[in-house]
Amino acid sequence: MKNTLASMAVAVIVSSIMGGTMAKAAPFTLLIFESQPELSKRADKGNDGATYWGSYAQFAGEAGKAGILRGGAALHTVDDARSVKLVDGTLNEGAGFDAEATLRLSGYFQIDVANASAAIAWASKIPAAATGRIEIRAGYPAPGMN
Amino acid sequence: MQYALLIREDASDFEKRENVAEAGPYWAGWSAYSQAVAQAGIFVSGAGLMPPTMATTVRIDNGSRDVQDGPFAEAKEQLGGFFVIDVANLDLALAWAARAPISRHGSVEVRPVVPPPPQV
Repeated sequence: MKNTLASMAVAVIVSSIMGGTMAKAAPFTLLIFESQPELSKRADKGNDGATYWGSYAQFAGEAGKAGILRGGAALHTVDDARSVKLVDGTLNEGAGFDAEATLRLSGYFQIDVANASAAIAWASKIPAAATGRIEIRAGYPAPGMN
Repeated sequence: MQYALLIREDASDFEKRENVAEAGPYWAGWSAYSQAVAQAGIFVSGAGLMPPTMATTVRIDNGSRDVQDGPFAEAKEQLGGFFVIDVANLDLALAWAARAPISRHGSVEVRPVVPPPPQV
């Protein structure tokens, strides 16, 4: 009996340490890719626009309540994009590089979650998961970038 | 105005991160750039991203989750990181983009950030 209690205590301590380890969140960036028809809803003043922005507000609200949301932005898409590119030391300006792509990088969310599985679960809730793609990338622990 | 500077790199750039001879100069360049952005008081957010070989892509297809290894687009250049900066105009954003320590294989795409939508 005593041994059982002792092993239970050890189990509790181990699980709390494991829990502590798991609670130490890692940064992930969820890259959002959307189609032009989907992106055109952003400017819609009627139901389509309200639904589009409302679904993102709902996601951001849920992620905010969960305490995992670090940041995010919607990006203007290719029509408004300006690019600079250095080629052999020369600065070139041009249109967005992904102008030919069917799905375009249109925004991102930064989240802090325990592991890749949790990042995938949150990515699945982003509205564009059903209409485009979400690419999940772990953050690099680079000095000065966060 | 907020602008995203999307840093695109190719496979040789991503390799530098892990290469003993090249990792030092590679990270020193980005560290110096990040510090310059921070000191200018224009930093909003940003991240360095693990390479595309470690990416996972998700979509919901007819209600079920489809998870694939790898980046969404099989492009030669892939997103290596990004900065969101707050500067007065596009010309300033382009000037900051031009200072990024990209290699001759890389590029920086500058995109305006969409202002927050009206509360719904």
